[in-house]
Amino acid sequence: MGKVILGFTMSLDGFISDQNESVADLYHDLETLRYAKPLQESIQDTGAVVMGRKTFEMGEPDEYAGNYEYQVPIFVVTKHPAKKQPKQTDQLTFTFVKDGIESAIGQAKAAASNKDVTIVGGAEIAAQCLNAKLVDEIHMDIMPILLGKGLQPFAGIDKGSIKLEKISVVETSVRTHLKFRVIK
Amino acid sequence: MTKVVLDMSMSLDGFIAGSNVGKEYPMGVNGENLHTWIFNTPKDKVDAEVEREMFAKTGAVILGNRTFEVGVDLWGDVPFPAPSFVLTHKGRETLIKKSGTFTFVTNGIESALQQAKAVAGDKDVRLMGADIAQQFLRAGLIDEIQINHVPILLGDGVRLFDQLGIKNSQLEKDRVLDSPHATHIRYRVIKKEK
Repeated sequence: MGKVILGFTMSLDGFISDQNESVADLYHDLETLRYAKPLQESIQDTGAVVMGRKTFEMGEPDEYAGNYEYQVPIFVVTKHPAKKQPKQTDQLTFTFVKDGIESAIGQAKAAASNKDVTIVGGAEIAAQCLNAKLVDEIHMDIMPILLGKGLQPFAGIDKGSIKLEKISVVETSVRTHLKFRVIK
Repeated sequence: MTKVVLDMSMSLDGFIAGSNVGKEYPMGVNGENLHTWIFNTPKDKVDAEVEREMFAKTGAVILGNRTFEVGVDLWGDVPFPAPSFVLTHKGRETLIKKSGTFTFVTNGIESALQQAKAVAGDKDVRLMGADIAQQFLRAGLIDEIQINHVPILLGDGVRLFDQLGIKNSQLEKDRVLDSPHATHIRYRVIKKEK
């Protein structure tokens, strides 16, 4: 069975977007990143993607099909589905999930069959998934930059110590990719 | 040449101590988990080398008054075998300990840095405490940042970079050392030409 993976890029001071909700500074190495092994592996292993409404809106709804890294079924967790169904293909479909994160993960798992479900953001969803113990692994890239202000990916997690086990550390040019197993 | 070094053990969610830091919990609730890489026995070879280097390279220490108050009994000495400078609003006489002295500095970070550099020789000036770290970062006075990324999520506590308010993209990763207990990543701070 596939795993549920929480994946994101974080600044050294712990933000996944800056105070203007921009991720540009965290992905200025996008050209290198695109062909780097960690992302290539993630694309290969991912059978479905879960994202929040804000993350969804970072891209043009109709441009995911054919362009997005992950050409797989996408599940958007939101109370307010897009008015117009975004463009889809045989590989990439959009499902707007209104009844919460557990339902979204459940549907994504079914769609991914043996492959992994990758949660790509945002912060609220990350915290909800961790608190509900739905996450098997955290794949975190650290970008050597201080954003000063912004959105924290773990802001809403329950207090107490969640222990993780490191799986691997890989360097790609400027960033460091860390993989952890969540000890349940 | 003497570098100003920030070297901290941090949880993945950005905390360098747990909540309720005080005499009862010197590292905050669950904060001791951030230092497993140092206190673990037997010590991992990588961690042992990082720790050895940390002590060998420290020529002077600058810390905040809060860190001093919480730590002084715990250490029973200066935190590192080197002269230590405590930034505080209330002056007091120099405190002599077994392997160094605490000097209390009341006239700001630049003065503390000047005094620390004067005694550090060719070793580094090491910063301790989140508040001191942020003051030095804002002033552009840090040369090297090493974060020992510890694989835990604390959910609450003292954040190292809480609302720094400034962007800094002038960091360059220059070394990654890894053990099961911590990923030690060192960054150079590229200084802007003045």
